[in-house]
Amino acid sequence: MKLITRSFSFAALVLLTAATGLPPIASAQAAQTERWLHVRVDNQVAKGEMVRVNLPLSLAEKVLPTINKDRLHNGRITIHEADMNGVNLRALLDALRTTRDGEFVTVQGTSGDVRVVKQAGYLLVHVRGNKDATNKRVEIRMPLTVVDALLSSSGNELDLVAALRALGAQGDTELVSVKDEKSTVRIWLDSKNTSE
Amino acid sequence: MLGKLMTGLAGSLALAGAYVVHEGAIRIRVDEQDAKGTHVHLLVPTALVPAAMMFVLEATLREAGTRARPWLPAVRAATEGLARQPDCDLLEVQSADERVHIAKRGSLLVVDVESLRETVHVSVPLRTITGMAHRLESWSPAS
Repeated sequence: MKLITRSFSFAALVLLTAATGLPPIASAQAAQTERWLHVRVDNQVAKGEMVRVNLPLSLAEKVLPTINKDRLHNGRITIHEADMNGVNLRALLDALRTTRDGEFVTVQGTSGDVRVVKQAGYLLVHVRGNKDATNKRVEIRMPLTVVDALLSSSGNELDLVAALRALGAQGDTELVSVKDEKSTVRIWLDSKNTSE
Repeated sequence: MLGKLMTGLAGSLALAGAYVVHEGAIRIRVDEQDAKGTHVHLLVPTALVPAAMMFVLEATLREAGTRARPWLPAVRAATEGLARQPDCDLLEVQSADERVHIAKRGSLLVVDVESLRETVHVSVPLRTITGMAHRLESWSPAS
C-alpha cells in the first residue's frame, strides 16, 4: 500500500513539474538559429492601417509542402505561359541568372524612373515616382541564389521550398521597401522574432 | 486504513489535476461592448475535448473532416512547427475600428480581436489543434 501511495505521489510530482515546468530546450535552440521573414505596413494617415507579420522561415518550409491545392503541390508552383501573357518566366529568370552583372532596364519617363540591375549576386529593382505624381519609391533586392533555388525543379515549376531555404541562408537582408506619401511597406529577413 | 485511503485519494486527485493542467485549457471570452451585450466566458480543459467529441454526430464530424481535409496536414505542420518556436507575435493588423492579433504564448496559440462592437479572446493549446487535426483526418473519407 505504501509503495502504491509513494508511486502516486511521485507520478503526481513528475506531472506537476512537467505541467508548470521549465522552458523547452528545443525552443531556446530554435530561437538562436531561426531566420524570420517580416512584413511591416504602416499607413501615415491618421488612424491608418497597420500590419505586422513575423514568420519563421523553417515553419513556412514545413507548411508549404503540405498544401496541395490548385497549382501548389509539394512546395512547388506550376506556372503556365498563358498566365504570363506569353512570357516564359522560367526562361527569363534563367537568362537573368546566367548573364553578367549590368543594368538591364532603364526607363526615364514623365511619371517616374525604373532601373533593373544585376549586381554582386543580387537582382535590384528601383522605381522612383516623380514628385508631382505619387512620390513613390520602390526598392526590391532579390538574392540570385534564391532565383537559382526557384529554378532547381524541372519543367514549368518553381520550387518555393528551395527558394525559402536559400533565403534562410542569407544574412540580414531588406528584400522589399515601398514608400510613398501615405504608406510604407517593408519586407525583410533577420534572426529576430519581432518586427521592431 | 482511512488515512491510507485519504492519501491514495489525494494522490489520485493530484494526478488527475496535474493531468488536466498539463493538457491545458481552451479559453474563450466574448464581450459585446453594448450595454446590454452578451458576455461569454468559457474555460474548457482540453482533456475533456475527446470526451466532448463523442457527443458530436458522426455525420457532422465526417462533413467537417471532408471540408477541412485539404488543409489539415498544413494545420498539423504549422502547429507542430510553432510549438518548437519561442514566443512571438505572428500577425497584427490594426485599422481605425478593429485590431486583430495572433501570437504564440508558451504552448498556446492566442487570438485577440478588438472592435467597436466586441472583444474576442481565444487561446488554444497548440497540441490540442494538432490532435483535433489528427482526429478530423481520421473522420474524412479519404483516410
